[in-house]
Amino acid sequence: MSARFLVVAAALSGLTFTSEAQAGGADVGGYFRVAARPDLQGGNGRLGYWNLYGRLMNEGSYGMLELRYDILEPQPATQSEWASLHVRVEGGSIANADAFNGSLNSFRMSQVFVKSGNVLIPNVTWQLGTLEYFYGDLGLYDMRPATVFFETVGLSAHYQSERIELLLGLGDSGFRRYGLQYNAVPTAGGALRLKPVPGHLEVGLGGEVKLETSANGNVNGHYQTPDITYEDWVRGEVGESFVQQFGPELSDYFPDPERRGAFGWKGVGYVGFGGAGPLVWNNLFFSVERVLPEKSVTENYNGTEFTYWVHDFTDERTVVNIGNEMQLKLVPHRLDAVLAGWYGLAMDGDNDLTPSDWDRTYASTVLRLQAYPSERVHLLVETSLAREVSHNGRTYREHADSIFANTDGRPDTRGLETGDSDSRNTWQGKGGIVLNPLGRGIYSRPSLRALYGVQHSNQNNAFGNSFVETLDQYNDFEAVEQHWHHMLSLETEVWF
Amino acid sequence: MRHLLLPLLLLAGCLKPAAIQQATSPTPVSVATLVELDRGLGDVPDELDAGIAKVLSKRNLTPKTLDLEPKFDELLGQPNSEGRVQLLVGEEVLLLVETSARFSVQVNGRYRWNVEADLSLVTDGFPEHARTRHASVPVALIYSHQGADDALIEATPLIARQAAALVDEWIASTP
Repeated sequence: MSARFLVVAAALSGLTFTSEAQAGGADVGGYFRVAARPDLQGGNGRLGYWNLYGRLMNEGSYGMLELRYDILEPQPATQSEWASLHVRVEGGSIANADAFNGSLNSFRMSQVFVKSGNVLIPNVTWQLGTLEYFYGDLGLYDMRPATVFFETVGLSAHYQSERIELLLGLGDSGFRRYGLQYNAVPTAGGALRLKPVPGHLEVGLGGEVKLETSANGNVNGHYQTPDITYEDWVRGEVGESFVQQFGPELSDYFPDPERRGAFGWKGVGYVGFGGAGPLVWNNLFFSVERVLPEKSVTENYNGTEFTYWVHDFTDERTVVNIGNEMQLKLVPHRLDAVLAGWYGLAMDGDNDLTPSDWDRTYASTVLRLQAYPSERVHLLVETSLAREVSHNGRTYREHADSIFANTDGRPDTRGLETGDSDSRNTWQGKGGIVLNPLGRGIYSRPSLRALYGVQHSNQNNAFGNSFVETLDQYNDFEAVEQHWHHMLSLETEVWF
Repeated sequence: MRHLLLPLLLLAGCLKPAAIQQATSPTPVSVATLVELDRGLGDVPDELDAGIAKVLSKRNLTPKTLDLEPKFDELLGQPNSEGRVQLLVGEEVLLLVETSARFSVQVNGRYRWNVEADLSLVTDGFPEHARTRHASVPVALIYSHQGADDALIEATPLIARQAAALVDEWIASTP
């Protein structure tokens, strides 16, 4: 049996394979960030709700370990076959730094794959296992809109030359998407990257399609329960409506679901350019995704359990994301800048009733400046401005005594709006001292930072908190109104 | 902010850097650097050459960068560093830096590369007496278009640090 055949077998089966002469090289890398952010205003240690306002001080602690084991080490200066096993464990908890105190329950084995190169076809790398691939990163947001195969396990082939990269892959996205409600989601796609002027201009285009069928009798397939309404589903009153209409004695005759199929897809695009004048690089990413629908919901009414399926209520959800980030060296060795913007549009063709994350527009811009008074002691200033708009009415509470349930801004206990404004406007400013042991660079890591951050939002208490939100006269604690949020942070971040 | 920054900068200014060892007299050192690529051997980026030259200059040594391109085929035929040193060694002190850079994986938005560097210092003309050091440097590049050269540039401070340690050992052992 030839060595080449064994490498192919290892790559395609995911089984480890060793060659005594060339195996054994191992490498551990990863990423960690940890922060101490005592929040004296009653928050949970993050300046705002999410990284639309910039990742800095809006993300919690995180850890990631990546192991690479060389099953067959590549031979430098040759195009010999090689194979390596990659395992990644990651999660969002560090002891003493968040509510879960570093619990291993917060971690998961997020990536496992075998890569093998120069087998069968020169300059092609085969990958079997998890397949996530992205064109690049919006560093200020920690966002990668142009990503394919995020949910997929399968096989890909990646061809690389000086001017062309082509990735083709296929697999199954069912487990990542549905977990215990697994249903097969065959997925196929690819990503093309062209480099007309290597190092100065790149363009990319890619996408994936997901086709989900429902095998006859499979409870985890897609179905729609007939004769139920969108409004009852939103209110969680499907069972109640049925009982009121037909009486509890007919609960057993709740309608059977009708089988459906589902089709999801995603298109991504990328333009990168730079290496000229003060512009280090500019990344522009684009993605548009038709999201796969939801499955079933279980309600309990008067001791009777009603399970119904909602395919037709959730099969018209489309999400668009556009992000841009440019890195500039404004004054060489003295001042760097990164300017980024992010626009998102979520549309739900089924929902004309109630505010939802699937029906909104959001946009923001973030500017970070880093000055270098010395090689390793730096000054950082960042500011961001963001606006989020709900398409289906009011959802943000601007005041501690805002009405919860309303219709067109009027008190209505049966109303489907949840606030008194359809938009949230957020400004954040952050600044402080950064120690970078490896020297200058706005993305040089590790970074040890002492930062102060401030946020203003038109929404009341626009950060994770445990304040009382109702106005019940019997509440033990009073509702609090505050629009400014101040925070100090001692934090570090490292790739290694 | 200013109140916090000033003491920090003063504190940084108070840190006394370690004394750098000096050769007793200006000594020429031939510096040979190369990178092993898929297609063969290549020149390292100028930043790496400059980083190593800076280390030597600070120690009263006079770096002289060798042009290895005409010898790439010959060097490629050598099975190990000792063979390459054999080909290059002359009357002057020789510092050979062999590097390779390999893309490993995408990690949390960055592109992780592994840079390996083998450093050999021959001071007496005998390759078998070479002092050696190895540097294994993980590099997290930001952009996809960055390649082996960028990884080597990022790794330059740590490779230069190993070169400094190697040279310091030699200077310290020289009567």
